[in-house]
Amino acid sequence: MHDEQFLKNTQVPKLLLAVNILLALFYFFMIAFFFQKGELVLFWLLIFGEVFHLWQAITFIWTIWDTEHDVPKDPQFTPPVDVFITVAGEPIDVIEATVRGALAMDYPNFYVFILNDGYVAKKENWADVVRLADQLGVNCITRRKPRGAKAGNINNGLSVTESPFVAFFDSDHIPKPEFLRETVPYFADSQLAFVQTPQFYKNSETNFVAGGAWEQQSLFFGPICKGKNRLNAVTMCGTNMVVRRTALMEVGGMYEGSIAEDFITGFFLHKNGWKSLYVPKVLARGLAPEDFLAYTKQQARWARGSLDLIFQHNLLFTRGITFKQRMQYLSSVSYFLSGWVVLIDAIIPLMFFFTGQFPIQTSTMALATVFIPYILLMLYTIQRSSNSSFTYRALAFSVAGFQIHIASSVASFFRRKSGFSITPKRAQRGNFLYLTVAQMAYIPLVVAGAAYSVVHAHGVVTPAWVANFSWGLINAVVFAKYVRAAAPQTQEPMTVSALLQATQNQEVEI
Amino acid sequence: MKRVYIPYILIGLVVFAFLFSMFYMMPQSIGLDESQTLWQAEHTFTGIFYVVGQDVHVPLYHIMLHYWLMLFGSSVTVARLLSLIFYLVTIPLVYYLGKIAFNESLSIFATILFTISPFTNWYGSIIRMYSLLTLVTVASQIFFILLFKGKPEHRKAYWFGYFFSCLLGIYTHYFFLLMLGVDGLFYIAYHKIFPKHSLRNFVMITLILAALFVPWLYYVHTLGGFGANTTPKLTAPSTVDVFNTFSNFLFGFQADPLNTAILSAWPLLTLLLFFALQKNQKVSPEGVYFTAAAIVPIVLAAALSHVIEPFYLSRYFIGFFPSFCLAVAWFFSFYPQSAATVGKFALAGFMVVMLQIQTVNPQASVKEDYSQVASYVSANASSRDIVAVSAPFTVYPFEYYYTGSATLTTLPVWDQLVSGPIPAFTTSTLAANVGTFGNYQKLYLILSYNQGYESDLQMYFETHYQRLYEQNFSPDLTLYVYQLNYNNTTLADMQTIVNSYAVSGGAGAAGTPSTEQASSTSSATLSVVNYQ
Repeated sequence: MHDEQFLKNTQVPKLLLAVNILLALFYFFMIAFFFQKGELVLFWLLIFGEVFHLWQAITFIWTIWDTEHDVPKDPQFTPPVDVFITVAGEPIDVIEATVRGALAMDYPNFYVFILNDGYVAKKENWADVVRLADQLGVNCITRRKPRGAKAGNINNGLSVTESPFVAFFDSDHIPKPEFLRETVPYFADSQLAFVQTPQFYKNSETNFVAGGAWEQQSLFFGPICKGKNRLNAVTMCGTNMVVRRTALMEVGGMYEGSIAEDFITGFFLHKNGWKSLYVPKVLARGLAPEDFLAYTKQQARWARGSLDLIFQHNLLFTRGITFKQRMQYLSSVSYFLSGWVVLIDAIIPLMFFFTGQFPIQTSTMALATVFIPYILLMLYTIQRSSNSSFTYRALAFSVAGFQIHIASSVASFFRRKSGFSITPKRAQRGNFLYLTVAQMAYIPLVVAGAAYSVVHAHGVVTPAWVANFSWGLINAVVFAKYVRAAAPQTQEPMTVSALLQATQNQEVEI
Repeated sequence: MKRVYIPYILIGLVVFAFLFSMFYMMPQSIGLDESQTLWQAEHTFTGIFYVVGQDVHVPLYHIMLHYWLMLFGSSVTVARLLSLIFYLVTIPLVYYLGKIAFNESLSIFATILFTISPFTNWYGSIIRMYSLLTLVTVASQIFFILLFKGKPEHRKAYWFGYFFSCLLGIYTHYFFLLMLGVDGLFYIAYHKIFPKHSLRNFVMITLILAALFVPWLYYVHTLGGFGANTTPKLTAPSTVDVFNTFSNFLFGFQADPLNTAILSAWPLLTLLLFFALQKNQKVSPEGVYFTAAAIVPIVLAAALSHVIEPFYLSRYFIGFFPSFCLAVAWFFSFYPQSAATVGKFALAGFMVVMLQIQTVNPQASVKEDYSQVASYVSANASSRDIVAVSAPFTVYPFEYYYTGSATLTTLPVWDQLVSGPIPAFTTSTLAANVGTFGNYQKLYLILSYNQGYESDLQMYFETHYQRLYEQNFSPDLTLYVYQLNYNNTTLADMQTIVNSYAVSGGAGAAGTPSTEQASSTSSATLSVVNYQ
């Protein structure tokens, strides 16, 4: 696979997108108004889920309506840039690869800083990082007083540096030589606050979890981010980006009150009227979480941080952002509420099996008539807009991780404290099935429910039973893919030398 | 799959289709449509134009059948052989179509699906134009694909082949026009992959085809329009009918409970779609073409049946079934190799099982066992009885097998030799019709092809006469025996009747289905009621 496949040919014909919306609306209105209601609680739960699906479908199509948005840049604009590499106990070889990559950037005027948080994070290798900086001839800023996790580390770095622009890299994201040349010239526009580039995972083919994590990302960093460009609503992702110092300082630096400091800070910049830009080029390559625990932590952090925007920062009514930006942020954030809808969809077949209740009463083929064209075209649109980068595995990861979304939304709603957790850069070997208890429990529940239902009906198998069993089976199969990711992995994680090799040669043979 | 095996597989598929037809299909009872076709084909050349023009069909197949019967004899088996030949020729052509559109591996799987389908095996051996329609549709698609994938130096031949196959197609079945519609839509969407001047050529072909078809349409118009003298009338399709078409394609004509279970599992399609989300899998124009050919005509015909007039029957879409097979095979190409292998085996295996069930199950929805019911009536009805079939047009297949001495009529009473439509049913005309039955002792009432008045008709007899017997021979084909008069019935007659039911378990007396046959009709409704 070519690195930038997910960035190419993302534009879907507008006629197809329009038909997509019509089919989504048709499906929704048939479900909501034309089919006979069943049990009312289940019906309204279903409608809640369908409203959510409709919202997601419409905002997705709106976002990807036009993914080709050109912005002028001035190649002569080459101001000084501070390059921050944030570190908090990651393996030395990982950090070294990134620093070497940063030093190899082809740009006339930049300074590399390692923002070493290992000391305050009580990491054993913090002093090794200092020595590495000396060895490579870069600056190392080591904090002694903890505050604000990663955001605090960055703000500390900002306080002792002065270049007008700052590039950010996580310790595992190795920039390409052209990174600064491809991003900084856009800042000739004095209203531009930050330029974001894709968070590409080079190790996506090394194991099952990393692959799923990247395939999920490919849809976001492909058509979605390209579409957000048009709406001046680019998501700040914390790494592989360049920020205008004055803009960042205007909003108080990186926001320290959230574990998704980048996302919230980007929102504040938009709120203050600054512009954002997404450069759809892979200009740095990083590491995806390679084990299930790391993946779960990463997803939980993103979910919690994003949902804080709704529950703690008044996204719906806050002033300063445009309607389009508000809708875009709402669309991004609401993805992390989808776990509730998955839960509802998973419960409905079980309710039928154990109680005989159902949300709507209609000919099963009438439902098929409105549903199949809608889902077929939607999946095709997703596949086409991601240029065949989005996969069934990614879909399974997105759907089956419902408990992460639920737990995060509850924590955010009740403002429970949540610690910043760095995604491990090395695969943790082990069995993480304990993280998928809900998914594993669902599978026998469907089987038991189906059996109970048939026995209860004196052996009669009705069309409704077949349909509900089919829905239950779909959920179970999708959950099984997720459970598989939690099971002990057999593949070896990618070594740093392989990663470096990959960075230099563009492609890596696994 | 190794290329060297493919010819053997193709030969094996053709042999399979031939033997299956010989052993299972040829002995089947003739159905209503077949009997009508035979009747139409027995006319003179101009007579065929006349009777087919009043029907909902076009005359090419009937003319071919006419000369075929003249050459080789007029038995049902001979007539069915013509269809079988078309079917057998189509099998390698489906493979060739898939090969030029995709690749050999994909194509051979599609050809296997086509050949083991209960749907094609049924219509591949009946006296109708469906196997010819499939053949010409595949031929036209081959030339259509070659227009943009074939060798440039042969392009003239492709254009001619396309034109000629389309000409045969439009005179084989009206639904072939839907194929032209799909070709047109595909051309609009993918005109860039076609050679230069193809728009001009397509327009020319369309105009010439139109010029050659308009005379026929005008002739039909002078006869009173489409289906001027045709029954049964169809009803507008429901969503179930639409999905049934796809279910019929793959799994044939199953009894209602099984078919309902299959259709109700439709959500699993969502899962199959999910599986197809794989990296680096692009949608090819050929894939779009066959998918469109498999879906668009069906959806369009269903919609038009509601807007204009109902004309929707799943068998009319048989020409699109090879496209459906190729689309399914193409869909599997999106899957990872192991998943595709499992999926292909599962699908093919399930289809083989369904083929077997359709073959042995007398309640398979497509079966019309006029042979058995005629044998039963021939053996049991005497010259003092009367036999009535309803709907009236079902007299064709019934009288093909009927050899009894009882008078045969229809309800409503219809004189086949008099031109014009079948008389409409009303309760008053029914009473008048029954009034003409005079002193007949028993009425053997055979009901099939419900035209909307079947229950009224049956209710009339239930409330006016005593029902002696009832037997269901195949789906929607039921025999009722009513006592019309007692004047000449002796006690001995009554005792004979009672004994005959008691001994045979209700299957009838001498000359009726054997015990083995009767037991094979396990789900048939069989009862003796109100016997005094």
